[in-house]
Amino acid sequence: MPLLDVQGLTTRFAMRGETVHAVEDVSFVLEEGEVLGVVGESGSGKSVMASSLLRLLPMPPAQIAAGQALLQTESGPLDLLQLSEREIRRVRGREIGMIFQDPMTSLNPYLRLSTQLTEGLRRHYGLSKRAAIEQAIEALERVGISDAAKRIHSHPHEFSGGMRQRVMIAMMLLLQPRLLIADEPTTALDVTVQRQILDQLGALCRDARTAVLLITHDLGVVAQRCHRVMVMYAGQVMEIGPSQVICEAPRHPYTQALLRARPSASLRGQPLYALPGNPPDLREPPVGDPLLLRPGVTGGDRWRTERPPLEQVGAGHWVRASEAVLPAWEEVRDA
Amino acid sequence: MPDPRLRIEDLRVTFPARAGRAPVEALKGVSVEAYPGEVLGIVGESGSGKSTLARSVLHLQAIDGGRIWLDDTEWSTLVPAALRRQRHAVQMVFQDPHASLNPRLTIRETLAEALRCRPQRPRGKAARQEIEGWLDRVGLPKDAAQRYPHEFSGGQRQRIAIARALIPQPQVVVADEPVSALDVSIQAQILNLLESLRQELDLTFVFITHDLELVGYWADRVAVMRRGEVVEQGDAEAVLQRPQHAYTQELLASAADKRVRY
Repeated sequence: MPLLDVQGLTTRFAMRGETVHAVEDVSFVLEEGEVLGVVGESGSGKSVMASSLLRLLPMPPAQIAAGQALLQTESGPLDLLQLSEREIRRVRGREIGMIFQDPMTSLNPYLRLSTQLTEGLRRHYGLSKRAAIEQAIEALERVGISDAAKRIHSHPHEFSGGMRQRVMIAMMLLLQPRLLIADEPTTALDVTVQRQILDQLGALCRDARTAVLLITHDLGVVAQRCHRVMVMYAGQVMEIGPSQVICEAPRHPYTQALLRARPSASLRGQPLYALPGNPPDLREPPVGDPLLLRPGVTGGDRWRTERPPLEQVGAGHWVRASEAVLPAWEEVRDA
Repeated sequence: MPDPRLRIEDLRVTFPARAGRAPVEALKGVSVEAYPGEVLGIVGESGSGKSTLARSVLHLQAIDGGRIWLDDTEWSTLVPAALRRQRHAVQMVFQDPHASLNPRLTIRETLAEALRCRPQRPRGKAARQEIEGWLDRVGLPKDAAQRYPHEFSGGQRQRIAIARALIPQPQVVVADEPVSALDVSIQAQILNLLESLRQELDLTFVFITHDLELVGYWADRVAVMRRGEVVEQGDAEAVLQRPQHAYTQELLASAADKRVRY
């Protein structure tokens, strides 16, 4: 049985009498120790999807309109979407860890690290203060914070952004959640620090068998760090499968467009593939293939009024049956 | 080789000591040159001094030593009156167009202000045509002129910021992480736009970024900065393929870690 089984997750926002269809019928599974990358551009629904699972969205205006998200725990499967506020709070921190782009959203600026790192250990595992601090110091050392015995008594602002993110990973090492939801954890960091943080995340899922849902806009992170990847567009899953297969031979035209848009030294002197236009307005969700709403995209008439289904195209590889034809390279260079 | 358009010699900037902290040498004698029509990439991580370098060139940061030349003019010592006359020659595009556009001005007002920087500025109908021409050139609809920055997406705001930077007819454009905040497909649109404008107007770019893939794609030459110093510079392809300095090698290894073969 998978660790996390999400079926038909649908999240909407009611804004000024209009409904924003942010996440539409998203399904996936996540196994123990597996890293699933979720990629998509702003507004693709990737972060709202993650926050829906964590139940961190303000309701209203958000509303989880449909779906199920079964997490295996020691006391049996729990549907994250059905838990009471009190129950979900117990699950967060103990069963599910969270890391965000800005660690300060999770760290309390007024509390010393010693308090923040040990709170969960004491509450969830009943450790004594002293034992918890010892473990916390060890965890800080493991993520490469030198002089941890002294620095554990610092406040978060005394650390740089990269160091704070390390502190968050130390917290995950301590709590060893079954599932870690990491939303753009390295986006704000320098490339050398990014690499270290991603190494540590990888070690966490190898050693503690933590499953990671890694939300990112960076296809490079996905190619090298994720076992599988899910590509989202307009709140829907466009393609899901082994990350190496998808990065080298993407099947969905949107995934192809995303990969072609990446600048690299090998494309020097050539214009980049820039898909014209913008993602659709999700106040009026596309009834058919959302890609057909981009200017320059042709074909695919079969899916103008009906949403193309996800079809299996390889081992664990599913693609939405779009028949959209992307505009030619020459047509998009000046878009 | 032609003479450099922009020449930075032994530039030094020190931030004075603040409560309990020693002074910070942000730039410790930086020398780089940008030749006419080229893209000079400045790469480095946070704290490397790359943005301080940009701000110095823009006269937004006082310098403590060294010189900056724009063609034959000693740019860094221009007195305010002379600077006002010549400021149009060096313009800037910032990372966050949301923060750099005045939210209270319509796009027309913002661009009209940029037009006033030109030595011979058009007025009346000619000015209006010029602004509309620029909106079209950067790929915005005509009716954008009446609207305010918040009505546009990040990519569109960056198009506005580019128009504002180019309207004064600069010779050098300093672009500090101009596409870093944008989604990958929008990033591609903006890079294509910058490149086509560079070719058309023979602009010289100082392109500041932390992203080596971007430098590899766009820069002709590159200077790698670390802790206020240039550790390596040269032809972009050569530096990226055969890095000499250990730090450049480390940066490249970290970036290679994220490469996608497609």
